[in-house]
Amino acid sequence: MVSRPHGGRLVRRVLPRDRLEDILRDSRGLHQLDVDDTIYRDLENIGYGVYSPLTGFLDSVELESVLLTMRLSNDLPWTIPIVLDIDEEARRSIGIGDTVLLRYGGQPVGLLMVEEVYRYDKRLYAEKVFKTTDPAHPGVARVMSMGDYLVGGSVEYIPMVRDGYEDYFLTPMETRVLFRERGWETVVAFQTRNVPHLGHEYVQKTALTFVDGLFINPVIGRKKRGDFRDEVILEAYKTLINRFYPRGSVVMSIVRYAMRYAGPREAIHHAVMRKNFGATHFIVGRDHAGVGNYYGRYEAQEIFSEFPDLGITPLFFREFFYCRGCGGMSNEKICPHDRDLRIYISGTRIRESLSRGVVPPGEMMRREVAETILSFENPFVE
Amino acid sequence: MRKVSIEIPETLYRRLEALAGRIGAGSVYELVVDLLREGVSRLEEDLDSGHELSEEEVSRIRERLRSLGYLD
Ligand SMILES: [Zn+2]
Repeated sequence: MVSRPHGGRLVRRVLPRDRLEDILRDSRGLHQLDVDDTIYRDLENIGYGVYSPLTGFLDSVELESVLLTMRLSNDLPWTIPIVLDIDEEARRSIGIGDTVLLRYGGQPVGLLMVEEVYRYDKRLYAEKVFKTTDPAHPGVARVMSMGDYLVGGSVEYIPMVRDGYEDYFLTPMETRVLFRERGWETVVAFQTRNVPHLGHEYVQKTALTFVDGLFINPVIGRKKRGDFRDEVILEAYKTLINRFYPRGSVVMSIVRYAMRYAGPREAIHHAVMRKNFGATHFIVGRDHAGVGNYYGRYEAQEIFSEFPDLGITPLFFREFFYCRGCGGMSNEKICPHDRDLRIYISGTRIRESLSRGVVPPGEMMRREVAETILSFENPFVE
Repeated sequence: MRKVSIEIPETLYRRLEALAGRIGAGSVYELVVDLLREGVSRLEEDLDSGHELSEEEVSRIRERLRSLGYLD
């Protein structure tokens, strides 16, 4: 059996087409609010049940509970606040009981039923979620730049904005049907924001050795300059899967989600999202969802001991490398050799090589994958 | 009676303890057994009421999965 949804039931809050037309016709009478990329992605994830059991943005009681206990008020594990912020001006125009039309990039993307508007403590938020108030941390920077008020209330998602990746996206309802049709009882999920190198491949295949299926989730969305473009990541994975993975054992589907870089807390959140897609296992590597030096190397693995009731099993991995002593790929847990026999896989070195149009060493990346990446005129975000 | 030992979150245990006192359950143990009995019945009912999705929804999903190449 695939995992039960978090909290027991898969949430679905997508506005039916016929109701959408009525609402758009009357939309002049509605309050409207423009939301940013993070909130828009959260809205979609609430709508499709990726964030089950959440049906909307957190109210003050739930936010306090998430910040202080890493659980919702009903004790269910929940580590990342899913909140919608507004500024003073918006606060004056929005009242409790209002229905607000949410817009992203000028298009309607959701309805919000306002249940509470409240102030919150940004320092506490940052300290609890990111374990720092350093404004150089990208997650902290976002919280500090948010409006001074939060709106709690349930939402309905309107699937309007197209990003060209629709054919790569499956909802939790769809993945659950898919896993069942394939006869998978155990599924391990792997999240990625990068093109696959040999280290990723060995982690995935080691995990797949013990379960029925591998569920690969490239995170699509905001990237920084110099990152690989989303379409390059997808094509590189397609090459790897088609050439080097057993047919019928892998499903790749994107996740639209704005990274928080909250390290350990975010690792739990990522696991919960995959549980809702039906995964039974989740891969957690070194410094998962971390940034800079804010979190310990394996802190994102250690935090799982606080959640025996999570409902998805984490699989912890050490870094893979090529070892001349072992004569193949290995990792710290299984390799007895000296460091100078090992070739560590360096993302920086792979990137540097590819940016010169050169295929990286075969101990780091498959030639076929590298050639796919190099077939793009510019594989990097400008 | 079978004796089992399970790990539960500290916060949940504290709530159980407080609740047991308030509703006059003899002990946390007694309350837990009551709650389990109730929860198990509910889940069994959920299962008996069938699939969460209608047949029509499932076949629409299968259709999409096939058209995208996820299913043969
Ligand atoms: Zn070795």
